[in-house]
Amino acid sequence: MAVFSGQKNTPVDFKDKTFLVIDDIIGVRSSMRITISTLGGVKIDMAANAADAINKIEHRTYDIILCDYFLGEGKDGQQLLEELKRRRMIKSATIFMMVTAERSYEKVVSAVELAPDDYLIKPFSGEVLRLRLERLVNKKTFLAPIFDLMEGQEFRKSVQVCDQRLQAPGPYLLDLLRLKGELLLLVSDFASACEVYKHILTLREIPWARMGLAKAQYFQENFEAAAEGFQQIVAEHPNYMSAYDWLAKTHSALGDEAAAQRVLMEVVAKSPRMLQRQKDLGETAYHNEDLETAQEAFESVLEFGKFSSFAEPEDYANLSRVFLDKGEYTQALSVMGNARKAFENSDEVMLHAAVMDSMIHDKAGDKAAAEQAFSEAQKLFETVAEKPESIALDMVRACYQHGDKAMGEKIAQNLVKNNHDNAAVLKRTEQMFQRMGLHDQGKELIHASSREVIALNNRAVKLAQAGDLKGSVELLMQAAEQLGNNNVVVLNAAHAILTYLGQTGWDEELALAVRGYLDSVKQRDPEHKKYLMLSTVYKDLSAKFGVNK
Amino acid sequence: MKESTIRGEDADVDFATIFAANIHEIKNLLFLHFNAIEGACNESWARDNPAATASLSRIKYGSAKIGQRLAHVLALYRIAQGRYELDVDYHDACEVLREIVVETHSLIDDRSIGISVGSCEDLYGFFDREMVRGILVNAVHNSLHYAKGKILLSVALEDGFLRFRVEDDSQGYPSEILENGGRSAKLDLCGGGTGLGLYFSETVAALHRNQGKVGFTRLSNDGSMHGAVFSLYLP
Repeated sequence: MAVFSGQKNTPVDFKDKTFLVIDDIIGVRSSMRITISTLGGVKIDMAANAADAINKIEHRTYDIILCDYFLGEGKDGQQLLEELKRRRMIKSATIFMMVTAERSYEKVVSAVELAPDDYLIKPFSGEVLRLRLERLVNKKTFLAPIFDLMEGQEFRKSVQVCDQRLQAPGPYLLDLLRLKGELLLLVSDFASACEVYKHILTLREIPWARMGLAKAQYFQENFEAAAEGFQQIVAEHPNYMSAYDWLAKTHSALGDEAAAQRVLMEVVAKSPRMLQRQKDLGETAYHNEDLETAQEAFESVLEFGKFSSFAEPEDYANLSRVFLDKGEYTQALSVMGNARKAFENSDEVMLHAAVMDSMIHDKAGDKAAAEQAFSEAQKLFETVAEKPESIALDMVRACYQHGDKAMGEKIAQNLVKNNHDNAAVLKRTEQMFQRMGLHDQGKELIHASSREVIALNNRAVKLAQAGDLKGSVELLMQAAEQLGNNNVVVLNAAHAILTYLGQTGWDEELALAVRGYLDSVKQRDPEHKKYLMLSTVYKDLSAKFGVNK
Repeated sequence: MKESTIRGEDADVDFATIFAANIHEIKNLLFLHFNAIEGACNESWARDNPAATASLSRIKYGSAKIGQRLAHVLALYRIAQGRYELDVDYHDACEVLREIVVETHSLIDDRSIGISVGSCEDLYGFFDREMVRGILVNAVHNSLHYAKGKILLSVALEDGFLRFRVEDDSQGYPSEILENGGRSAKLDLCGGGTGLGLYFSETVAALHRNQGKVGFTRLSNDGSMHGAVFSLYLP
């Protein structure tokens, strides 16, 4: 009879664990239920497809999710996992195991943070499932203190705990190094992140480590090295989709938009259903004045985004703009008509449609309709609060087209001031002026408006350096008042206040302002690195002064 | 059935895709079959009847071998197409051996062969777990065919390689095989098979590369149990 050396895993009591089995075949679901019950599991739910699974996960917390890769119509297992992670519907402690008939068949290497905890290859016996689950439960228990700190956004401390655990990592060496690298990227400690990934790469050439290193280099603005890294991943692992996105981004940063477009076209051909990628391609192609490719990409965004929550009025405007530039005015108008229907005449869509209509009618020679649409656009522009940058940009163009240079300039200045460190927005703004034949004027406007923000920042820094922290705080708070959408300005204000509070003691009124600033950035960009860093500082400080939130 | 089924309207599907998809499909069917047998094993009429248990166990063992062989064919096919990407990650070597023992144990209820894990503590390495498992399970199935009573799995570090070993107390490999370096095409390595198992093992071992070193397999008769020894070296 079989004898084997003592079980190394700590046995796990599956009685208390909640299971979710996701498979489109009812026979498989029921046989999985039997298998889990032989392990002692009793709390078992079933889902037949991704939508069903999301619904179940919204209503109950699961410890262990066993998901088949193929789920029939709709999302596959990997897409489901990505949605769950992006929407933060499952915690780091949750075990997500992908069940597949063949490892290589479904293998689309995705970003490491979007990978399942393990793959289980069919057929498998109940005993193997037990061993795998025990191992994963053990691992999650080992990493739990780090996950808890991460949950509380205490990333610096998480790194410290990683380092402690790395003294005796055992089987979890790579998990710890991987977590540490991700955390260092998160807190913008790119030099240390580079070190971690380089260390991993001396152990083994692993694509996600190469990816981490290249990302860290990208953030250090060492674009040549980053491009080389992403290039290497793409060459060796043609299915590593996110490496293409980063490579395109890096080409853009290096100013090579043609190369960026080539990379995006290559990856879009491989996975046409990724909306963001199609959008990136459309924008890059539009930038490169390749209107045919831009049209195709923006049409795909609308086609694949029809039933997705990701679609925005902006997606329609992007396509309408291409038709406008091609001189296909009927098409351009009809796209915005569809947008109004799709978004049920929401404020945002009515505004964007009025802006687009005013330009299209004008070019098509219908001056009366153009004027009417433009005055509608002017009215709505003042009243609609939430405006994506693309609306502001189109509005600037419409203003110039209708001879209202003053309003156009003002909107453009505001846009630049609120985005003075956002290279993509600045580039699009510059290009728009170029298209209108006002390249020099545009460059000058962008330069002057950016300088204004930078000068203000510098003044505040000088005050702080000269010891006038209070003066620096006041100046930055004034700036934040005017430029509430500029993450850099708002976070600098928060930073200055926190330093001031650290030196002079707690002041509830100033703390309230900090919370407001942090929340506004969180809404726009929940993963903004400086935001995450300052949240930690705020927490530490309030703990230090014994203040409850 | 599953999404992998070739649909009628795709007129230009090539044979290669049909071939791969069909094997994939068969693996899915086999999984259901496998589960049905496990289900039967747990029913009262089978549990209380040693003869039935033994029969079911033989059927299960046979199914597992078919599944294993299909996996090999599919992997070899993808490698030949240049579409196989090794999935190298950091694994606990002991864990892999323990899994194989537990799995094999559940397949050999009616046999009087003891299968155990020897030394393996605290050895971790970079490899494609499923492929290495496939290689070792193949060697274990082979040993099950010839061993008198014992099979031993172990792992160790040797000259910078991670060395997995499957040894048994059989008569050992015939000398003509060893003289040939174990590369005879007619080699009966799969227990009535055609040598495909060894071919698979060599191919997949060689896909493992690190810092100029390449993985390989070795056959010998120099084990502690004086039987056949199958070794897999991974850089």
